[in-house]
Amino acid sequence: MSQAVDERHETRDTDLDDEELRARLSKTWGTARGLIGILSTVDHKIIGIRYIVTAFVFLLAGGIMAIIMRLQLARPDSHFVDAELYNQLFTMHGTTMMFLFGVPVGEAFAVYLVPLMVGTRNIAFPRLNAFSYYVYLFGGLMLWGAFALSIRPDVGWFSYVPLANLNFTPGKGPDYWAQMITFTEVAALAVSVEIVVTVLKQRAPGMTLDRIPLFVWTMLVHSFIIIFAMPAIMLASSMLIMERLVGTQFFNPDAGGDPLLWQHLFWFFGHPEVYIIFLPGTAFVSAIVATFSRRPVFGYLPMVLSLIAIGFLSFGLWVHHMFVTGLPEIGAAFFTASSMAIAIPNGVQIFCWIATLWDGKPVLKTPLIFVLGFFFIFVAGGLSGVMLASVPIDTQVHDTYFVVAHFHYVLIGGTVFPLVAAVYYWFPKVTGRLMDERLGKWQFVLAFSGFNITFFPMHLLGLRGMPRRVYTYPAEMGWGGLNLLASAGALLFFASFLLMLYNMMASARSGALAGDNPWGADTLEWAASSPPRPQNFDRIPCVTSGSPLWDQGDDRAVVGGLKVDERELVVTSISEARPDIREESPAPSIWPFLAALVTALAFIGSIYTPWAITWGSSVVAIVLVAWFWPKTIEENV
Amino acid sequence: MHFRRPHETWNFGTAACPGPLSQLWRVDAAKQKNAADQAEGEECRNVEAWFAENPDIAFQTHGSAPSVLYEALNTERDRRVPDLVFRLFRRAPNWRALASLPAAAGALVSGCTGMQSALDPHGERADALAVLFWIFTAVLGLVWLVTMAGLFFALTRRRDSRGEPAQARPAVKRPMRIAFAAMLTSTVIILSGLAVLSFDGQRAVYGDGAGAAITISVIGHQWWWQVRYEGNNGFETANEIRIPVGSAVDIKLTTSDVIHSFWIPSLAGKLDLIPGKSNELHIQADKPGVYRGQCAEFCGQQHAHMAIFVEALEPSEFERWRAKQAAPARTMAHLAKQSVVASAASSPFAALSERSR
Amino acid sequence: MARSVIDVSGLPTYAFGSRVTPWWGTFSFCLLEGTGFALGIGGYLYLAVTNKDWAKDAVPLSLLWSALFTLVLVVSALPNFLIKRAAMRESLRSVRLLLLIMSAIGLVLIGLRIMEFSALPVRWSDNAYGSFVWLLLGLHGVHVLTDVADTLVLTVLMFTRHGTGKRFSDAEDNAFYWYFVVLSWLPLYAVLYWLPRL
Repeated sequence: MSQAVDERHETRDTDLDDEELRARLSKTWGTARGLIGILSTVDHKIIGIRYIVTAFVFLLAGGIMAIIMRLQLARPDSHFVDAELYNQLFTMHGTTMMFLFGVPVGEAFAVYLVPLMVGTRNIAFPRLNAFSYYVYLFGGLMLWGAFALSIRPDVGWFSYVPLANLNFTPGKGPDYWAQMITFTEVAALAVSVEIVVTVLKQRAPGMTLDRIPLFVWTMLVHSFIIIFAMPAIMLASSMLIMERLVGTQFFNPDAGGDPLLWQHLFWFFGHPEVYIIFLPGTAFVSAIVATFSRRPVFGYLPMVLSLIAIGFLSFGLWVHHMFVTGLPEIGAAFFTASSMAIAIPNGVQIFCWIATLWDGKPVLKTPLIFVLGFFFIFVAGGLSGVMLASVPIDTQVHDTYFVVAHFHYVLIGGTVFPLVAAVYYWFPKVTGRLMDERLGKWQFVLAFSGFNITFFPMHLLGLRGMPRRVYTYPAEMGWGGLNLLASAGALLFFASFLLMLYNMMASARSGALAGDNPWGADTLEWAASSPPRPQNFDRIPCVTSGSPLWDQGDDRAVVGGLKVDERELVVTSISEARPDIREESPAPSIWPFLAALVTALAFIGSIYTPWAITWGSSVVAIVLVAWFWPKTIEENV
Repeated sequence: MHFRRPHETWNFGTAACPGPLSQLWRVDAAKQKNAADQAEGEECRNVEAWFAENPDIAFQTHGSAPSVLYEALNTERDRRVPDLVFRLFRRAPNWRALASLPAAAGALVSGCTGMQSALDPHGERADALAVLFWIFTAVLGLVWLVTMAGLFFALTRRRDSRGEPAQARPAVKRPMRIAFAAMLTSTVIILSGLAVLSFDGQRAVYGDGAGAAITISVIGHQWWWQVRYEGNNGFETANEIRIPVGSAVDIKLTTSDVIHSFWIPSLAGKLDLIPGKSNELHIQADKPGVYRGQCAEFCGQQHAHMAIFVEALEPSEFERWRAKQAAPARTMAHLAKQSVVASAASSPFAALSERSR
Repeated sequence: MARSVIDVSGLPTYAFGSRVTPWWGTFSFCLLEGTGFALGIGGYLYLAVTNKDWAKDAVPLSLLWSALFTLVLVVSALPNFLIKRAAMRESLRSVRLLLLIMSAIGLVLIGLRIMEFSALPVRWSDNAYGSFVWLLLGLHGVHVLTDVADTLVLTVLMFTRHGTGKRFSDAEDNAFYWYFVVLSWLPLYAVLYWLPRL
């Protein structure tokens, strides 16, 4: 090895002035041009944006499904779509919103924001991150591609057996559904592992456990919930596809199986799933409430403990989805109690946010306005959830439009409103430009009124006997008026998203320039430039308080001594975040993309023959070896 | 004489379940169904199209529009159902009436009360559930109002000084802690109270069926209900259950194919029909009337049309009906022929088969 | 601008155990795969309790191959421990030797697992019990297969020019995962082979 090369690799950030350091680091951490470069990138920001954009495309697709369903239900005895198509529509709507939008969008924001917030240069295992994105993308494309080719699942997003079995649902629809589940869960699990490790090991020096931003705490708990919940659905969906393809008997009561086993496994995942979707919403709320009140969120410790409590309790609720399956009474009573108990940590969180607003000086910008909408809607949804926790009440409203209303209040109120707030809030960080405030407020008016007009009447419909998943209803039932109202509201609500889309596109081109920290926020992502450079930070910051940008002023301590021409980042100790190792972060690679591709092909093949798994996995193995095989001698030290 | 309404005889799954014949000859419809799986989907689509062309028939199939014969008999009763004010006056002012009062409010929003409503209880169990529902609604509605009021004051509170550092002011920490403690305590108390009420209400779901006057087996099929009156003189009907007013009825729920859910909101909460399992539901009607219900668990293509009617008759009338049903098979065969003839004229399937010929 | 700087230039570029990120990655994967095993066993036990015909369906599995498998697996924990130690001492010779031994043990285990499958008295399609036996054995088999493949690749790596520095950390990480493969088998073994005999 020549002396010159040696020297280049030994250049440290302390040797350079700010300008040159910035340029050299951008080159080291940058993404190459061209198709190969685009597909090889491991930059968490680029992957994060792809994740977010993809999730929003699926949101739009799921929304269009919803609009078609609302048009069908607007009038009784309607023939706008037939039963077959309607069943496909609600299956695709639920599946898309849950698996292709709800879960990924929260993780997408975490992929983009968590490394910035903890002050590191890339997410842990960035190649796995790229892999997870492609797997998610291919899973979504597979489901929608099959849909376009008229191979459509039509047994609901929950695919209850025996309806989803081969003898009641021939055709490949449920197989595509089951494989898509496996796909997106692989992606979700990979991202969770990355987030857990990033938060535990890559925090900036000085960011002790009690200085971790609430956003990051939330995403940590969120990731742990995924780690413990998603294996259930992967197991279940694999069992379902084996039942359909190779004739296993897990769910067949005539051969020692039990259809309720599917429901137990599905809801063991399915209830934590609600919190998997909802927790990112609370993460957004914590960040936005603090910034726009100019106060740290009141009660940091109760907030963190509530998050952990939610994480634990979310695993003790699944049976409340099965109250009408004829469970033993004592079991039902237990799950009523635990389902009500989770209202306590949620109540604590709501209290702390309102207390923060009360103490601070709220600035009513669009992000905060959407968060206020969140309070209005989510609290209502949470309280109707307490009603559903009660077995007797549940026997009347289970599987009716009351439940539809409830979970849209919780999921749209709890996640989508904060999500829109988050888009307005972080848009300037991502693009360098602010979104239009006036349009934002109009969007709120549309979204808030549209949402409530759509979903409030559904409570009444459910109580008045309208079951879920019916493609039509007779005029004499008297449900026509409320349904028409709900459909009108749905159009308003949908329009609000088109307005947001317009606002985003217009603002990205000609919005007001934002600067690094347009809202005067306190977390580290606002210390990076807008948009952030590939290296995130020219010098890794040191943290001395929970609100570094508010407390430390301009004299921010930094880390020195990292190599400039290699992708080096600081690994710190778990609780006190003392610098421990200068670890090499993997460079861009095409192999994650190729691995995702062959995995996707193997999975699609397995829908048609089980042997695809055998052949596929050997190809996948070869690709994985190529992925991990060190390319240079430098990767060894 | 016993007659069958159109909704009983015509069903979307008719390829597998040819209406009255299957009930009388006890054809195992489920077995046929499995065999005819493929053909059926096709047929259903045809039926869809047929209904699209003949909207009046589609209207009848939903089961709520009585046939001419039936109408003559039931005009008065049907008229009475939506007439809310009339009913409220007729009712004794007891707690049950109170329970349905807010239902009236809900009904006003939409114009009328349907006959398939959890808020329009006509049986002991549904009454208890409605009362519990309104208690929960009142308490939780109050919680919501208090929270929103807190949010409102937090936003509109007058703020004096400007230019404070971005940190919680020490002065507010103490009152805030007190408020926090108060919030936590009241949350726990409210939730515990509601949980206790809920446990108490579970009796309305789990109470045992001892002393039931009649046992009826309900067997779910895609997409109709087979109803079997158990006992020595057992007989079967489809999509219709007749019960005597004021007697407890024990309903055994099983399924021949996929999961369904049996739900007559005016009488009781719902309960699933699960393969390999038998569930029991107890219902009792206070007043004569027709109570509609429908399958509440998604069960395939025509899930929306899987309706069932519970008709509560005066005990004497019920006994007369039951005696007629339990009469020897010869009479039944005769009846069957009659209804087949009657339905052939107007049945969509007759039309279909004609067309296919 | 006055700025305090923490100098990290003296820190190592790799380390062992829970100090490095791959250890936490492996740990997280153990958590989620462990959850998968736990739920699989849960499903098995759920059916064993709810299904009244279970006793009839649950024919005991033959003990020979599984006992050999379990024995070899448990014994493999010893060379595995030695690898971990040798890796941390960065002794290339011992690591190479031990990795060869572990690869051989892994291949033997795969052979034994295949014999286990071929000796099963039930097929996956016979009844739910058979389905679960195949599922759980297969699930664990996949873990054995993955880690053996990983060990083989690592063994080859160690004999190339890449067998330095950070590769020792990888070897240690691989040994850590093998413990999980060993530990997760024990409850499965008890449930699959001994529970039906009780």
